[in-house]
Amino acid sequence: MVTVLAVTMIAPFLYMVSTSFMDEFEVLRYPPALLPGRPLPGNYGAALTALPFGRFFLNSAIFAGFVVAGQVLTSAMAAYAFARLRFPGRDRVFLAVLSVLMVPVIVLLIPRFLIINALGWVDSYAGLISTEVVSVWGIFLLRQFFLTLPRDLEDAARLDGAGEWTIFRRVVLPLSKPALATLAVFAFVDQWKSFLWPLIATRSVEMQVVEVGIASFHGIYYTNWPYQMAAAVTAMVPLVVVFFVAQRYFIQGIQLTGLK
Amino acid sequence: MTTTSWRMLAVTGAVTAGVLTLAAARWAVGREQRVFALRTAATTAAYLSIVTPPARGGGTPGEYDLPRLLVAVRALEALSGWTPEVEVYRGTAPLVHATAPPLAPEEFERLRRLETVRWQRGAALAPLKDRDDWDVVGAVKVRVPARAGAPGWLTVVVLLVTLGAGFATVRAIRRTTYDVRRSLLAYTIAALALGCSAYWDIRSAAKAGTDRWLSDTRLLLQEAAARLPGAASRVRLAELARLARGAELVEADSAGVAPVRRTDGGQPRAAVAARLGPGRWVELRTLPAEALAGRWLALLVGVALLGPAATWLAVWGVRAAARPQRLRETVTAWGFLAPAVLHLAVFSFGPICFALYLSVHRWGLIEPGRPFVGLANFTAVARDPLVWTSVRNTLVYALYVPVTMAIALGVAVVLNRHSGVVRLARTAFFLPYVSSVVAIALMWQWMFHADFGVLNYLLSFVGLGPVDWLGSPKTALLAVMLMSVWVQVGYQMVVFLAGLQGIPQAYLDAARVDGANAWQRFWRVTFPLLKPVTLFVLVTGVIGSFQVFTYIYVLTDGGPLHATDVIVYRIYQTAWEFLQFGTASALSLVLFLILFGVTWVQFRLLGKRVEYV
Repeated sequence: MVTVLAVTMIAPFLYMVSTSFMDEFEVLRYPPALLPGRPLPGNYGAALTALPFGRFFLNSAIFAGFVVAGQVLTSAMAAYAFARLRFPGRDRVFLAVLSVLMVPVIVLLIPRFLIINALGWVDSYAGLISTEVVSVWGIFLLRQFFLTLPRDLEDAARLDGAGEWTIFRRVVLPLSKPALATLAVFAFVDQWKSFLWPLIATRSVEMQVVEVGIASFHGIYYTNWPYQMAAAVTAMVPLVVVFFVAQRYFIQGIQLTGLK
Repeated sequence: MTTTSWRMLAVTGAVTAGVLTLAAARWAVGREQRVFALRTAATTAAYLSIVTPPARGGGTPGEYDLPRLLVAVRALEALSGWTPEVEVYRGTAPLVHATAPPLAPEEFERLRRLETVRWQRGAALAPLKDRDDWDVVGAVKVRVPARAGAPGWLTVVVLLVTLGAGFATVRAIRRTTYDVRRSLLAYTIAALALGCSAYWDIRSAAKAGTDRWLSDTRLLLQEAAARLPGAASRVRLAELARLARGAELVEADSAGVAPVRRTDGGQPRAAVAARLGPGRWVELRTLPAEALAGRWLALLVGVALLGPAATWLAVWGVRAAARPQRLRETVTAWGFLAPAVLHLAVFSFGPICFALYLSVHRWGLIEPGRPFVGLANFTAVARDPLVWTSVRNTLVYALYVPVTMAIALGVAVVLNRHSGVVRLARTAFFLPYVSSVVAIALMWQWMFHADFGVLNYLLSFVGLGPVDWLGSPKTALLAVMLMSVWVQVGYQMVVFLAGLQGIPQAYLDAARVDGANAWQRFWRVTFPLLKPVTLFVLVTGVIGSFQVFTYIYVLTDGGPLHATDVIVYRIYQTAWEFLQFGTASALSLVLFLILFGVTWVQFRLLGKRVEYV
């Protein structure tokens, strides 16, 4: 049964890869061919030069990279304040922050677009990145994790006269590497997959990210299935690589929080 | 700082806030009256240049007939219902009150140079052009009564109450007892009331200004129609339109003579009817000034709340002085929070308020006018049949979530024993979940292909005919749902497996000893204990399914025949294709409400707390 399910999950991907090597007219026949008669690796070169895919990948990398760095940093700082420091109204502020999770993203998207439009940031990295660099889910995840850390080390550092910032940087962050990695991996995948915001926040071809790029490629080459499959396979490579390298963090993310 | 100096700060704050609120309101009221005076001066000048005939027997071209001008000016004062204090100058010589001081020559020069309405020494001054509209030959001055801008009695009372509440709060600040919360709350409410009351003064002044301009202009229109040569029924509107600069003048049926407020095509309008002659009426319409007064509310309330804010600061300061450690920790904590909280304020909480604001305004990207339209956006949403179609489609689409959950849970329960195998295959289950959304959509589009797709090929083995999956309105939504099941099932299974590992084996063993069969064990033991996980998967899944967009955008563009048109796709089109951001925002808030309701129902049905006994 596991095998049947696994095959159901994997087979479409294999078929996609197989189709990407076929001839444009070889696929248009019935019954459909499962393997290319003669593999055509040239499909990849042809598909990827039809639109500036190099630029798309660069854009996606810049977008996801900055957002991941921003989310990890701001979430860790905020989570530390919520988990470890005492100040009036802490729990109320935390609840208010969490309440953002209830609001559907589309409600925020229209005003956010109008804001970056007013700032003149549409079609720029600033506009693309600025709205995404704080993640409420990340704050929540790291706060839960920080609460599980023992306080002894921090208290020892405090007795030695360390300030909160030093404790945060020297004690808490090194202890939280697995949680930070989990957040980073999820944030990276989320941003790489995100479609609607990059679609509306960019206009020119040079600023499109990979997801938007292959969608517009689909619009241009909608009859050439091997080319489309080649573009789709390429778009998935970074995600699959990240997934295989960081697989345990995904599982950890689910098992730690039961979330996401 | 000592307690006394904190108190001094609070008192200063309270008094400053009160005085500033009143001053701001006074300035705004005065501004509204200046606007009225400037408008009236311009209208009166236009009236005089329409009704005064040219000088007889040559002279400078464009020269007015001076005696007739004098008559027209004097007649203004005799108009019944005419309110403004008007003085007209011919050159610099006053015409209405012959003994009044003449216009200062430099002021007249300035008018000639600038040819525009200006505010000078407490009066509005409009240039009086000659008949050819060429040179400035005089001026019209409209004075605002000196008492203008005094606060309403209600505002004064509220101000006194607010100051009283403020002082009471300050008295309550002590080093030892901190129970100032209640009086601080009372003070805040009073300050809010002060802001609102001052705003009301401004609004009333704006409304009165519009009303007065409308009724005065109405008098001038009727008078002009009577004075112009020829029968009143033939006076051309274009000629009178000079009186109504910044307003519309249209032929209308007879109507009441008092100004009325209404909404025309989403635009607020103030209107009055004027009778030009027997059976001939026109309507004068303008944007009511109070429609623009809203921006004062935020300012006044903000200024009024400075007092409570200062008092709050003092309360906090006195407390913090007692415990310096706590103060330091609070400052540090806000330092850590600052990046996240500031960002959330600008890009999350701000947008939520902005979305509410947008939903009651007409908002395009290019047009400069963004008027308040009340609930018009919501009624437009409710009347749009496509919106209803998209809501239905979204609800149907969301059904894929329980279907996926049933499959995922079933498989997870069976596999729970063989967790070693699962760990090996987990990568396969997870792959769709971490893959590029657009790539997966393209992949399925190829498999759904009506003629050459591999799905139809597989169906042919069980004798089912080819299905035009994405091309037919009957199956398109089903096809998208099918794909979504495939994407989600593996992920949900992993979550359920994690939940199943948390159920102690002893409970199942006990049930087995009691003679429960596998079916009973599942429904009586496993399922109730798994409820939190089930609820979590269901709620997050439904929330996600209500916001589906990318699949629809790539696979079907909402078609065929809107069969896969979902709410977010509708919002996207309304905002970024039709550029109706107000309507789109209203629709997004409707989605929020629907989602809120659906989530609430799920919590009610499944959310009862389950305890491990």
